[in-house]
Amino acid sequence: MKPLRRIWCRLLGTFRGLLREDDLASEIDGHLRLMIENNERLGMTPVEARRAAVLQFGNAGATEETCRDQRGFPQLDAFLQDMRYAGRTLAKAPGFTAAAVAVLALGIGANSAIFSVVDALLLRPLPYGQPDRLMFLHQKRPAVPFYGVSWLDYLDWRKQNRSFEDIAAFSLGTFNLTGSGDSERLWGRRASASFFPVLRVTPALGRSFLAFEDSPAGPPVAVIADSLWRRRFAADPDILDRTITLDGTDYRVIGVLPANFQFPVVKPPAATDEVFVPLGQWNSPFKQERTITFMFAVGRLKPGKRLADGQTDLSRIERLLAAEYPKSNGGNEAEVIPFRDAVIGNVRPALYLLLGAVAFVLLIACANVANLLLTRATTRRHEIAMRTALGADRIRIMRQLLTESLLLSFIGGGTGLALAALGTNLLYRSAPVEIPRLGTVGDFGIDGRVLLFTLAASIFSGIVFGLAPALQSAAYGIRRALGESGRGLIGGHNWLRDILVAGEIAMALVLLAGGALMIRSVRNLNQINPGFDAHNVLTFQVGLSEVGKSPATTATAAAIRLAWPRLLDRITRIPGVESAAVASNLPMAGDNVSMPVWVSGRPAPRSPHDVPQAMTYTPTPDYLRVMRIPLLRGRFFTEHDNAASPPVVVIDDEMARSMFPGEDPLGKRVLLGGPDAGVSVLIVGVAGHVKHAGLDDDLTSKSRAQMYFPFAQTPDSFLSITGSSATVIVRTRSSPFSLINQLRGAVFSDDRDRTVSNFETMDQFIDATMTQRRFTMLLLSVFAAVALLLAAVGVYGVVSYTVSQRTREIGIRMALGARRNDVLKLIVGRGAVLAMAGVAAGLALALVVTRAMSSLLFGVAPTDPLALGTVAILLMLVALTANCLPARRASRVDPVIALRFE
Amino acid sequence: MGEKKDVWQGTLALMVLKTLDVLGPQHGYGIARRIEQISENLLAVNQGTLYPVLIKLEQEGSISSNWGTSDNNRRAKFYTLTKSGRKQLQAESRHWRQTTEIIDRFFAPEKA
Repeated sequence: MKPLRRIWCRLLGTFRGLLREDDLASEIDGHLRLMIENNERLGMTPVEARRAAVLQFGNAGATEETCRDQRGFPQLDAFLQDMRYAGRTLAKAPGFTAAAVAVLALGIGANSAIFSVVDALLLRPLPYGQPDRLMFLHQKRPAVPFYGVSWLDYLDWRKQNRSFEDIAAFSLGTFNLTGSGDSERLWGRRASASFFPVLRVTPALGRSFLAFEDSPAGPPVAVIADSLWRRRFAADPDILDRTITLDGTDYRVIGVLPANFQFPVVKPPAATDEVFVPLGQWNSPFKQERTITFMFAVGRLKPGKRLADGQTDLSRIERLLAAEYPKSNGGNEAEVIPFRDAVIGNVRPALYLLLGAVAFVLLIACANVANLLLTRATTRRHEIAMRTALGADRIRIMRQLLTESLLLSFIGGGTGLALAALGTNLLYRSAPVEIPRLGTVGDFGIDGRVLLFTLAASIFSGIVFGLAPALQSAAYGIRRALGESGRGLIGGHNWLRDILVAGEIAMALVLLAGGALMIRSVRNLNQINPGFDAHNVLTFQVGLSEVGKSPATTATAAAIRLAWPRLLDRITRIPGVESAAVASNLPMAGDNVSMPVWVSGRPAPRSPHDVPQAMTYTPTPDYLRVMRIPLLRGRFFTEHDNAASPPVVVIDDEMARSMFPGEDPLGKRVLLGGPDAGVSVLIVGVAGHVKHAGLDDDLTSKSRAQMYFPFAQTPDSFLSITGSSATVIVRTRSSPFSLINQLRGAVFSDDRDRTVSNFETMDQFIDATMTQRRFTMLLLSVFAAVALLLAAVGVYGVVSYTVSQRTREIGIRMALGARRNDVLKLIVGRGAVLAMAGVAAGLALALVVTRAMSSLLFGVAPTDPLALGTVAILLMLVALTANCLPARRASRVDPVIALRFE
Repeated sequence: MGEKKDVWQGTLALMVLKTLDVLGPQHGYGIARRIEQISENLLAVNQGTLYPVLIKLEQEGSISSNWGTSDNNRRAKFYTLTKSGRKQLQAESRHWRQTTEIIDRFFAPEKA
């Protein structure tokens, strides 16, 4: 208690010190008087009495000093004094202050903005209990280019593992919400009863699933998201036990999730999960197949278990499964990854790159301000020498100068924070959709952590740019400074300034190189032909109301078979529509459906993972026309290829090449589903290959073969489950968005209970696959531009300083016969040497640093000579231009004026 | 050893508290005089030490101060023992007595 109280009093004392100064003086004075009176009473003469008292009292000034120190914190007093002084000094040089603050604000602001994003995505814990123990689990299958886990394998994982508290499975789904208002298509999940407990998420209202509900006989129950609860049910507190109709089935609402709940994995970026239903009660034939992997799993490690334990454990189970079910599970591997990695996906390298880039920007800013300070330091030499002469020691001077730097960087940081607030807003709006936004976690903006980071960045920069000038000033001898009558004849060479400027140029070059490499990558991507014509193609999701009540019925399938062609017929009659098709599994849209396929008549492979997979599209006949995918040979399917006719398939040229090398695939048969249980289908045509996952797809994709299977030939059992919702794609004659209302009308004219959602063009899909690169390119280019500007300013500053220092020297040279060109050469030459040194160092640095960004590049090496050469030349040109302005000024020096100059 | 001893740091605070306890409100000079008198002029109270101690005690809340008039009509700052100062004094004098007793035992002539 007492020490605390004392600190408080001293803090108060620091700020009240001035008020109470008189108090102390008069108290001491009173004391002295009492002593004198006492001495007089003892018989001394007044003079003697005073002398004795003063002698006895000792140094009154020192006493006061000690008391003052007691009363406040002397260090703090000195600091505040330094601050006041620094404030006055900065206010006296508004031009310098404004320049330094602007540069720092740019540097610190950019850092705070990027940090807020990095923090939200990489550093802050996920909004689940003990998120570090959450793991995302999936299978890697030899031939399948994407991951998942089958239902039966999941059940085995859950039963046989020893390192997870529990494992939950989930799949992504869409649901038609009908009744009570407009019908709506919702994104949602089928999830096991363990799902919410594993995440440690408790509904805000009601409860989550119970084990008996998560079984085939379980009653239909649903947990809904806060957003749906507010939107559809006006946040009705009595929502529990009400029913909602999803895909024609009545579900009882048993829980409402907390508002901040998000589950941002395995879903299209725009989708928000709004309903959850038990996975276990879903009667899907897919669930019985170990080869069908449309689910994912999330597990919570037991306390003390690590990722590696979980990995070893699941690998062990996978080996057991492979031994037991060699046909379906041979060659499968399990993969355990931290849940956060699954959430943020592949943005990590881009974020680290940007963080590194802004750090460079800040360093350049610091170098710039340090240079400004150094320039000022020379003009302040006198002041500092005077202070030294008056008794300030070196430490005290350095402290004073550092305080000034810190004040400067705090002002810069504060301004930078305002910039960062603007910047994050901009980032948020232009961020690629692939950057997951994690509810409370992903809302990047200015918060306490960003404030703290900004504070740290400000202190860091204050010290970085302040230290060198402070050291130099403090070291500058008094006699030298006081003895100098202003400027010397020949300006001293200041190596520190040269190094700073060369360093700035080097760092700017690295940033420019990064920007150039990104620009080249994006350009390369833009030149890639996706294999289809994306222009003027609109896509949207339609959900039919003919939904298979489980178990699947032939009647539902028949209704679905009728409904789609009728809808397409209505759509094609809209003026402005050129053609339309229904499709599943669109390229670039994040859809992935693939199937094992084997050429009929060839001997079955020894190992099941030698069976290749082909990306499988199931469209209606006009698909190729809508997408303008070239038909290379044979025919595409027609309306006559229906459920009653023999099954046919169209393959792409990649599949033709890889499976029928040197043969004509037309008329051959393949087994869809693999050599054992596959359905034999006839190849009737060959179409062009399409980039499926993105324009850079083929560099990474394992499976390139593609095939088209008629939508109409989908078996009843599948169609009644999956066929009620599909993507409609429409090629229009002009801008497709103008037709949205008519398209909606066409969908609803047959049935009001349908849903329409997600109008997006193919162009948007392609764009979305590039946004991360484009975003990185944009930011990196902005940073590089800022760096270039700062470096140019830095060069300009140093050279003009040199010129002003050497005016007399130049005057003498000219008086002795030097011509203007000689002077120009003298000055430009020096700047050129600096620029060249910087560029050389930058190139060396870039060769090392750009390698870190190779995963973001496309079609260009991190050491691309064209990109590096271009930026080196650009930087040299800019540096020389910045050099020439002051050099020209130097060459115009009038020797007469220069020699009198002083 | 005719020289006066300076008061040891730390014990001065205790002496100040005790003085105020015995004499009631007192100014700095009075406190110094009293300590010197009690010590029969063996101790000299250095004002350079006394005033910082007074400030510290006041900051800790053991004493409080007020401006008043001294016996001979001079303005002076009077220090008063507070309730918590009294408690502190009691605790510390107990502690002091214990310490001195222990030290005494060490230096007491050895008995057979």
